[in-house]
Amino acid sequence: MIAASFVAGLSSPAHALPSFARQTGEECTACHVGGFGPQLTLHGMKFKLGGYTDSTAASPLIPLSAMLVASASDLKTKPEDGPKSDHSIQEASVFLAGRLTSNIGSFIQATTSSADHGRVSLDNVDIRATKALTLKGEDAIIGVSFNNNPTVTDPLNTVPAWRFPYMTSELTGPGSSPLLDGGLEMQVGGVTAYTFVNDSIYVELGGYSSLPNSFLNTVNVDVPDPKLNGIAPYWRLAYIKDNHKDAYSIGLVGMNASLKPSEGTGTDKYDDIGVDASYQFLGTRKHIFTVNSSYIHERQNLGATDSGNKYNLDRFDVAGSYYYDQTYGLNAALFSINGNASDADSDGYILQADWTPFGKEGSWGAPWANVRVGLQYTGYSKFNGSSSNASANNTTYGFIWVAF
Amino acid sequence: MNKAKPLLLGCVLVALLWAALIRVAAADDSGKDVFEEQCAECHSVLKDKNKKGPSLFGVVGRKSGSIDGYAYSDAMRSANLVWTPENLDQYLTYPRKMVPGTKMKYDGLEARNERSALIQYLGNIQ
Repeated sequence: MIAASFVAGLSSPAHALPSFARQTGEECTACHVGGFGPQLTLHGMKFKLGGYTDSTAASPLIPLSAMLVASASDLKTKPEDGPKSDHSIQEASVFLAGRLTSNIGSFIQATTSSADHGRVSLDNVDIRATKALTLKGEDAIIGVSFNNNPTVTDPLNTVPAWRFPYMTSELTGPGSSPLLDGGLEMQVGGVTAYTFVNDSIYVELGGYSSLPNSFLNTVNVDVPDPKLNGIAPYWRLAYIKDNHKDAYSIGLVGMNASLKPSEGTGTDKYDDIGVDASYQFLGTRKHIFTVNSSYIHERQNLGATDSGNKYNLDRFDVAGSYYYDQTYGLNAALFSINGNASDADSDGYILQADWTPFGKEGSWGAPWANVRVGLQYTGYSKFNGSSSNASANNTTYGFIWVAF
Repeated sequence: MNKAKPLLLGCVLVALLWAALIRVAAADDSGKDVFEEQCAECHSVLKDKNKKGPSLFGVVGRKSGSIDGYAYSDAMRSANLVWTPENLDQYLTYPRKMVPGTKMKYDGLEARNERSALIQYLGNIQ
């Protein structure tokens, strides 16, 4: 087994925040496909890249929000070392999310759950300072983000932090995935600078470093081992075309990380590069179709934990969704993880139906509350390198997700 | 790559299905549909409901920059226009040409029939 495999798909940062709606005067559907986060429309992407600062409020608001996810999961077969099913308060979070000044905005999340027994930990952090300007007659945004999760800054739902499924079971999941796919989330601090030119060209450059143990202990984040050895550079390029009726994007993303265990010598190197594409048909918003896809290739050189052996790990994801009347949603996704380590491979699909009754202009509770109810099924044809009995891990998952 | 072939086939089928569904879902050119496609994220037609842009309730015939409580750009506040159908048609064709400095970040609606339908729709929202 690769020593530094990273559990994928067990948690997703996933948010639809009424504090944004209160600030902008816009309904959830303006920024989110299906009226609930985190799948963004182009309008929502621009709000994010503008540093969460757009506001129509006559006076400053305190940008507080909260969310609660209650869920139940059931595996097809009971595993030897765990439960067959569970039900829990999967996530309870508070957010400081929105405009702090005319040029600074934040998305800061603190989370607890049934499993944490009330222990509140620091979740996603994305604090931005931005400025809108004109470059040779073209509109542009420049910004800098202080954050704790590579790809959490991204406006597209193709990259790991914001990829479907936006909420999923924590009972099981593939054991291996590229480091870029959540392997560093919450345990690192990073600064990235970005620009978005002419509503179409997005460039982001930055670097991440492990956070001090004392800070991680203070914010109740488990201290990782191994930790980053120095700075891990991160870069992103994307071309986004907004036609109002529809939109598409293509992009590249990459990160180079070196991890050092607390004991022993040497480092494990992970070089990730990915390509992604998306398409949204929005039309009159009565019928919305989206497809998001990404492919990430990782080269591993495990000098610290596997005698310098080298491995490749590839991950492909494609997810499509259809929403009727911004209320009724159907989602389908395929994922394929392949590597030359014996236990790396996992293949499967995810199906989800969901219902979002509010979040539209004039909806009950707007702009103070929204809810999504969903039923999800994950099926495996291969699980952690084995095809035999992979379907034992098939998972049925239901959730009620409330945002205030 | 044994599994590349079915995966590729699956993607192609999904793409074809998507294209067919999009064709079915495509809007006609009614003014309401044009509004939903082009304007509704930033504007409401409800009275006194300002979003990123001001309410478009009663906009046809209204003086520019005249809604109390909405933070217009300096350019729009001093434009001194009346939103007649003709002025709206010119503005919607290329907003930043007619009112340089407007904060409406919209490149314009090229299709004349769509502008006409939209203005007719807005004229009925009184």
